[in-house]
Amino acid sequence: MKILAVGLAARDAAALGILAALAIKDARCDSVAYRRGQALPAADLYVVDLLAVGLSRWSVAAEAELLQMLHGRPAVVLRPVREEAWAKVHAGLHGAQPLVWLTKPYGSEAMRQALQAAASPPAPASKRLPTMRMGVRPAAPLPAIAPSALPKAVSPATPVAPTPAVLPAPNASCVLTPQDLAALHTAFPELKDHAVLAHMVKALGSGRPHELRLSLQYSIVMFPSMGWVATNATHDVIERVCQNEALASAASLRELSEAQAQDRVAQLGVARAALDPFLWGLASATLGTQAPRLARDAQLRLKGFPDYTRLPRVPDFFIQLAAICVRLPQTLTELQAAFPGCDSRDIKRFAFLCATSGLGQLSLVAGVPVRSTGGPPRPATRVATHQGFFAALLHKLF
Amino acid sequence: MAHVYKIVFAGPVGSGKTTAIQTLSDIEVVRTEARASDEVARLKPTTTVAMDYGLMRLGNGDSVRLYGTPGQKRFDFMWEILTENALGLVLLIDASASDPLADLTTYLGEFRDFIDRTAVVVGVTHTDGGGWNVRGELIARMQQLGIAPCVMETDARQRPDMAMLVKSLIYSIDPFAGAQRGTESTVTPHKGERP
Repeated sequence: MKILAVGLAARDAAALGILAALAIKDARCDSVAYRRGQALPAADLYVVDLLAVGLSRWSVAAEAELLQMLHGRPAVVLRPVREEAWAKVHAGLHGAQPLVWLTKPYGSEAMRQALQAAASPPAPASKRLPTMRMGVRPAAPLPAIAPSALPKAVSPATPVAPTPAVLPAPNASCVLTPQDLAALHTAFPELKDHAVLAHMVKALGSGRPHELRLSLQYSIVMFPSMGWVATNATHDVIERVCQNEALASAASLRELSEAQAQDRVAQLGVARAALDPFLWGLASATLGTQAPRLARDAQLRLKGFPDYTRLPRVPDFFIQLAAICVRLPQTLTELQAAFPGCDSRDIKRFAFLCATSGLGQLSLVAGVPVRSTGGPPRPATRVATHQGFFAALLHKLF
Repeated sequence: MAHVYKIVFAGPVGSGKTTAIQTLSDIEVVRTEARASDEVARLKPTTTVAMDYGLMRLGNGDSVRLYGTPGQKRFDFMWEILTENALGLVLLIDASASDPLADLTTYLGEFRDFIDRTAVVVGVTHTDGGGWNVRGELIARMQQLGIAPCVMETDARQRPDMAMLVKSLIYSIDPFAGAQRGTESTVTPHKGERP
C-alpha cells in the first residue's frame, strides 16, 4: 500500500513512514509538498495536513478543493486544533469517501489507529461512525502518546491491527555475509583502523571458529556461526588493547577447526558466552566516547534486539532505535529525520555497534551523499517533561 | 483524570513471573497461589492458580497494573481475561528448562493474536548456569514466526533488568514515546567536528 504524506513536515513524515510500516502490512510512505491546484501523485491512502496545504479554514471552496485533491481516495486528514468549522462539517463531508479526521496535535497511537481505519475497506456508515469519532479525540502532541488514545483497562477493545511486518532474517547467528561486510566497510571506512575490531569482524564474515591472540597471555576464541565467544582477557585488558594502536596492531587472527576451538576453550579454562554482547562491548570500548564517521548512507536491519540488560550504559535512545530497526529496516538518514532532536552521531554509533556485533545488517543506499563536513544537529533543548502515560512510566523505570 | 493501564507477564511455571512483578511493583504482590499438587511440586512448593497482581504508581497519577498469568496450561482461560485491553506482553522463558524453545513456541502461539495487536518482549531467565545459546535460539524461532525478536537475558530479581524489559516493550508499542524530550548525546565530537 502506497501512502502519501501531503504537506507534512519532514520529521512528521519520517515518523509517519515508520508508524505506517509497523501498522499496515506492505505499507510504504512518500511525502510531497502540495501546491494549490496541483494534482497529487497516485497513492492508495493520503495523509493531508490541512494547514500545510492552505486549507486550514473551512469554506465551501476549501471543502471542494480538498475533495478534488483526494479524488475519492481514502485519507487521514489533519485538522488544526482551533478550526471549529471543519469539525462541524467533517462528519457529513466524506459521504462515500473514507476519510478519517485527526485533530492536531495528535499522538502516534491515534495516528496508527487512523491509518488502520482509513486503510480498511469501507464499512456501512453506521458501523464506521465510532472509528470516525476515534480519529478526532483530543491527543497529546506528536510523537507523544495521548492518554486518551491508549488502550485502558476500562476502555473498549482496540481495533485489531494486522501482523507487524517483520522481515525474515537468514539466521540469528552473528555471521555477516560478504555483502554485509562490504557495506560495513564502505559505510564506516575507519573500521580498518581499529585492528582488533577489524579482526573480529573478519571472523564474523567467515562464520568459522577463530582465535584472536591479544598477547602471549590473552586470547579470544570465537565461533560466529554458533554465536559464542570465550576469552581469558578481562574487560579492562580488552579495552586497553583496543584503544592502544600499538597493542592492537600486534593482535593476530587465525582460523581454527571446531575441535581446535573446543580445545582452546578448555585450555583457557573459561566458560563460553554469547558473542553479540561481547562484540558490542568490544566495539564500544574501541570507539570510546566517539562516533564513527559515516561515508555512505546505509540501511540498517536488526536480526535481533541487542542484549541490553547485559550491556553497560545503554542510552534510552538506543532502545528506541532498536525497537524500530528490529521491525523495519531504516536508513540512517531516515532515522535522523524521525528523531531530528537527537544527535546524528548517536545514530551512527548505534548502527556501528549493531553491525560490528553481528546483530545488524547494513546495506548501502545508492547515490545518497553523506555530509562529510559540518557538525551534526545539536540535541534539542530539554523541554518540560511530557506528563503523559508513557513518559511517566519511562520516568518511573529510570 | 488518572488512567489505569495493564501489562501482562506470562511464561512457564518457575520462569520468574511472580518475582518479576514483585521487583517492579510498588505494593506487595497479591498472589493467588496454591500448594502444587502435580509435577509442578518438583519445581516449587506453590504455584499461581489465577493471577499475580502488582501495581506501579506513576508520577502523573496514572498507574500500571502488572498481571502475572498462571503458568500451567489448565489455567489458560485466565490468559484471555488478563490480556483484555492490556498494553503488551512480557514473556519470561526459563533457560534452564528442558526445552525453552518449545516453551517459547507454545506461549507465542497462545498469545499470538494479542501480540499482533500489541507487542511482546521476551526475558530469558535462569541463565546463570550457562544457557548462553538460548537467547540466540529464541531469536531464530521468533524470526521464523514473523515476530520481532526482542529477546534479552534477564534476572527477574533485578529491577534494572525488569525495567529494561518494560521500557523495551513501551518503545516496541510506540518507538516515539517520550521522544519530544530530546536526548543528550552520548558521544563526543571528533577533532575539528563542529560541536
